[in-house]
Amino acid sequence: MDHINLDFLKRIMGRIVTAGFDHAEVQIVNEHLTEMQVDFSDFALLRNTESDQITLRGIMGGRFATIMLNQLDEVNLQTGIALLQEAAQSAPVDTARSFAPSQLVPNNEMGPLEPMHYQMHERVSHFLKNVGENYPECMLKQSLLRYIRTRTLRANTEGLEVDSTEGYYNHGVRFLSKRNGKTSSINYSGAYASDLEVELLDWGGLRRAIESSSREIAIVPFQGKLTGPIVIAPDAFAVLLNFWLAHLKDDRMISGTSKFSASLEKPVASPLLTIGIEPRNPAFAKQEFMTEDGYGSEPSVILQNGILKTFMLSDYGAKKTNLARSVNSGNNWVIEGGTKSLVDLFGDVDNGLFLGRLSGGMPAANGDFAIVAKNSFLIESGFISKPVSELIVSGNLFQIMSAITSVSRERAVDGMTMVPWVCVEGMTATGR
Amino acid sequence: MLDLKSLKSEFSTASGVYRVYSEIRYQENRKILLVLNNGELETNLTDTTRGVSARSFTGGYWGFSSYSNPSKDSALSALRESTRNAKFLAGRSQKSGSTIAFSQVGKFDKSYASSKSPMSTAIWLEFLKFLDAMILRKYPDLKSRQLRMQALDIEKHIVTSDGQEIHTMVPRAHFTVSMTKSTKQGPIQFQDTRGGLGQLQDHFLVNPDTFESWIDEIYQMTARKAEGVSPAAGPRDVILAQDLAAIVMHEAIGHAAEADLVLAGSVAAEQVERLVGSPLISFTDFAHTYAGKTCPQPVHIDDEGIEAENTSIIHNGVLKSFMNNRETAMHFEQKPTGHARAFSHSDEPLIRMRNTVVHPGSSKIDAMIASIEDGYYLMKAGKGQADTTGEFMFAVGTGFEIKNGKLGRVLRDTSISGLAFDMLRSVSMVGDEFKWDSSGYLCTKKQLMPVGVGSPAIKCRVRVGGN
Repeated sequence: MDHINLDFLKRIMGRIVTAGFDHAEVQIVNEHLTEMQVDFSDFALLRNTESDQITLRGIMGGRFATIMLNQLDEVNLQTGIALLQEAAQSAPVDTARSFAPSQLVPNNEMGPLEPMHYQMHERVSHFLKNVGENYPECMLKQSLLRYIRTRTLRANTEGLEVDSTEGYYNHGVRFLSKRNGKTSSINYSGAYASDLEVELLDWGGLRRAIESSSREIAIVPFQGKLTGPIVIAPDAFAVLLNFWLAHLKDDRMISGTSKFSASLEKPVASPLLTIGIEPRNPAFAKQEFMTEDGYGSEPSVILQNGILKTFMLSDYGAKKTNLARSVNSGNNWVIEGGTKSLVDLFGDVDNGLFLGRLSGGMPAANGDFAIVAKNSFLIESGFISKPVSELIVSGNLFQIMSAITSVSRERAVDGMTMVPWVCVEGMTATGR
Repeated sequence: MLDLKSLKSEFSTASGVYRVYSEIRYQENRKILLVLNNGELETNLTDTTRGVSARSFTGGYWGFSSYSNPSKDSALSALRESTRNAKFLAGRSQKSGSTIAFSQVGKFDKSYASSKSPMSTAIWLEFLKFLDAMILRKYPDLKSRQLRMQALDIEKHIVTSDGQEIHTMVPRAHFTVSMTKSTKQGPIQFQDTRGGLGQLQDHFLVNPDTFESWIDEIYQMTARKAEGVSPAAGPRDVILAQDLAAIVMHEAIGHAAEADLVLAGSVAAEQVERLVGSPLISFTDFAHTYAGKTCPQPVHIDDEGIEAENTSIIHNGVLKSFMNNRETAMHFEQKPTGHARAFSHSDEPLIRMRNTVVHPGSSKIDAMIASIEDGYYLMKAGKGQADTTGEFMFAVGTGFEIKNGKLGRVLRDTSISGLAFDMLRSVSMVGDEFKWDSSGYLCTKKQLMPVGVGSPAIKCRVRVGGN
């Protein structure tokens, strides 16, 4: 990768233009991964990979094509450009295709630029010891501590030139708890960090999830039906929110199947919900410098007190729909916290459910969903009580997002997003 | 293609004084994806990923390293680094008694590449545009339509330090048509997929008119689903259609019998030689051939150089064996039967199913439907999940009511859920017509993986929907 620089990209770009393209763009992403894997509370694998992904894009007489390669040698580049020509010649004219203009995209180096093998091993060893001593009922199924460094170079015929490098750590854990032959449901937790200063147990919501797992051992099948309020944990809320936000993005907006295509500046969700995207929030280890279509990333507000402020469209999606382009890729969610503490959020629920995780299933195109709830508890008289299994939560995605009755002051921060706990009405939980 | 034979002599050099098992793999994944959305070419992608990796095992620990530059130097670097990585872990921890099985395959070479010449992107785009125009002309009332054509060739060359030398090329190609209709309750979508083992020219180098009746069927189901009903929620007698049964069995039962997940405490852990389901159920993971025909995802030798053999998971309701890799086979004192596969050159081999088959029974589908007074015939698996405790949940794309033994109204999207072995115990009829699923199913377990899944229809009791 040492010989790869913007001049190298510009030379490839020149060859694409020579091949008959009016506009060309070249992107090279070089990634280094170091992964320490633990299976069942013992080290299993140390893995490192180095990969390049080269994307060649071209527009010829309004006809657009993309080719992806992972080799930078002459033979492969030549083949790639020939394939790009063939693909563009067979593509229809599409005037919505264009490349990002020259702009001041900051060239960054962020986060750790080399993995710290010894510290990684030490952190994982300490994590295993810590879990063993403090949470003896916890059975780790797998723990993956990863270091990832990504260098992105991008240049196009409009004058865009970007060379950015970011490094970060990511830790993901799968686990359950076991006592006297009884087990909890499996749970997962993952988070990002820019260094290894903090104990792995204290990354994101891992400690909270392991403690909750221990309480889930006494799990019993849920009986009957519950239509009372449901408090949704950040991980589960993020799953629902992802489905909901898909209605603001290219696929649904271009195909005309979005629920919200005519809802800009209109109420589409509870007034308690404000969703921002902050790609450079200093609280995040995994940030975003540049959008997927090559624009410098900036913060935006998607929902302001339930009012839809902007769609989440790429440059292409914006041109196809005659709407504004999103100024980021929509990954770094910052959902505004509410006024209630978590204690009060639960305290206001007499008879309800705490929904820890959603498993499988997805809403139909009209928003109706029925999904299995995992890691969940009944709420009785304002307190979390019995853990329950075998229950399905159902409702309509659009109605649920409008039926949020409170949002917690506390938010879960996983190094990439900030998401609160929310309480909703209108969802049904059904058991055996 | 990188010649790995010359690297065999490097195995002992890289390991030094340690006793090390190593393998080197060169792999190339070639992907084509064309998506036509309402007549517009949304995606026109050719993606070729190749590289070389090495994996080494010593003292009970694995090391892995990969490079996307597939040169001899990169292969040697990967071998050295993988050995160093394994030693790094072995030098800091102690794991006694962990060893791996060895193989005696020798040389093996098998390619499923098409005998027909490949076609240019332009030909496939014309194919898609022709069918898109046909849909638009015949069915202007659709809110949206999407045509997706994709192909994935996976080619591997593997050498191992115990003397195996393997080359395989397994392609698959699929074509999906998706239609959406507006209703008062919001948009309703239905889709279907054709394809399987082979390259695009093996499946779709035909007059596109021959797809008209299939497209008509998709439209009819979309239209009927738009007028359809939501099923009543709760435990119900149902018939899982072939495609749905195949995927549910793979996810809810198959994964629980993967030895790495068994070691992690899956629900199958203590159940070998015990009755876990109806005696009507037999479930096998076939390596490459079933009923005299090549399976959708044939595996002859796995990525650890182990000869792939059929693995009987459940026979007449009794759990028989787990699926192993070299390491877990030694742990369970079973024979490794070739389940270790990696998706890309930069992935390490994991225990994966190849072609899971629910063996057909003797029931006619009409008799199965006639046996249900009030239930559902369910089709089209959507997004789902099953965890190792046996709890599963799948979105279901459509189906039919069954009232008094007869098919009734079409169903809208719903879901099924339950406990894997409870569902298996409830099986009361197994259809006599087996079918491979043609949806191009990609299983996810740390990495994606193409798999084959097939089943007859199954009558059982599961929980339907949620309201």
